[in-house]
Amino acid sequence: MHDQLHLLVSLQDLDTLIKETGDAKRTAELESMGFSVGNIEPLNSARAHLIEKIDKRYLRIYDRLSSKHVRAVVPVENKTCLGCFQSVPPSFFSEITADRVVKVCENCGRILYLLTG
Amino acid sequence: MIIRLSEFFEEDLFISELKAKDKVGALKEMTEALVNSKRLKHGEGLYEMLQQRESLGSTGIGRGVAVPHGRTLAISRLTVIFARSEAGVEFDSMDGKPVHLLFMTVAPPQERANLYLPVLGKIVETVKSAKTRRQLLKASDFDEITEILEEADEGA
Ligand SMILES: [Zn+2]
Repeated sequence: MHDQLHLLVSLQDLDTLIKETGDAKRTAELESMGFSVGNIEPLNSARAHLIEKIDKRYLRIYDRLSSKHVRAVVPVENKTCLGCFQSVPPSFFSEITADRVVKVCENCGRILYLLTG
Repeated sequence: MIIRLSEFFEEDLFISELKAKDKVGALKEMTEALVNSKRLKHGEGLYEMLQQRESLGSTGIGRGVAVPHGRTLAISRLTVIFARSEAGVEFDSMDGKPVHLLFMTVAPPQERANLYLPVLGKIVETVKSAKTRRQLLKASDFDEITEILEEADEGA
């Protein structure tokens, strides 16, 4: 399953975790619940390891989008891009590869991930 | 924010007795339940993300409870997978003891209602009661679990 799209989803999830872990207020809230949130270092090395597997051209797109938006990869739900909330053209769904091939929103350029259901 | 925990538990995401005996196995088995329920297409990404979260510190918070959690793009709404283990799962818990009650909580990053932290907090608060933990372990089916959670919701 380690195709490029899923690696990009993993990278986005990891970056979400890194960002949240770096948020002191949020980390304090988790710690007050009794969770331990330690050093961020393991996440940085996981990230370094992950990006080695991602195609350079996709990484460039990811980095460029990340500098502009909160998230570079966004889900498609109810035929809508959850980045810009515009509808995604039917051609996106008609291809059986929608599940695996890296495609971007025609409107906002974000990388799309089709959710189940 | 008032959270009614009973509303977040679902019968097809309840594992009455885990086969797994360790953390890796438990995370995999619970992720698999999510894939089998069709709420998630592929389990690998979620499993990796949960492991990355564990690398910051175990979510085994003591008293036989673990609350593995994280956000992933691959899920459309906040979801709780509840599993039990009578024998206990080795989870690198803070008190070094095996866990018997596991509440895996996953949420999408774009979740607008922002229920993620409140739900985590509510789970932790609910299982602080030794009586509730005992009842959850003894319950014979999902209906009983729902009743216990509803009672805990009312008591809050
Ligand atoms: Zn878009």
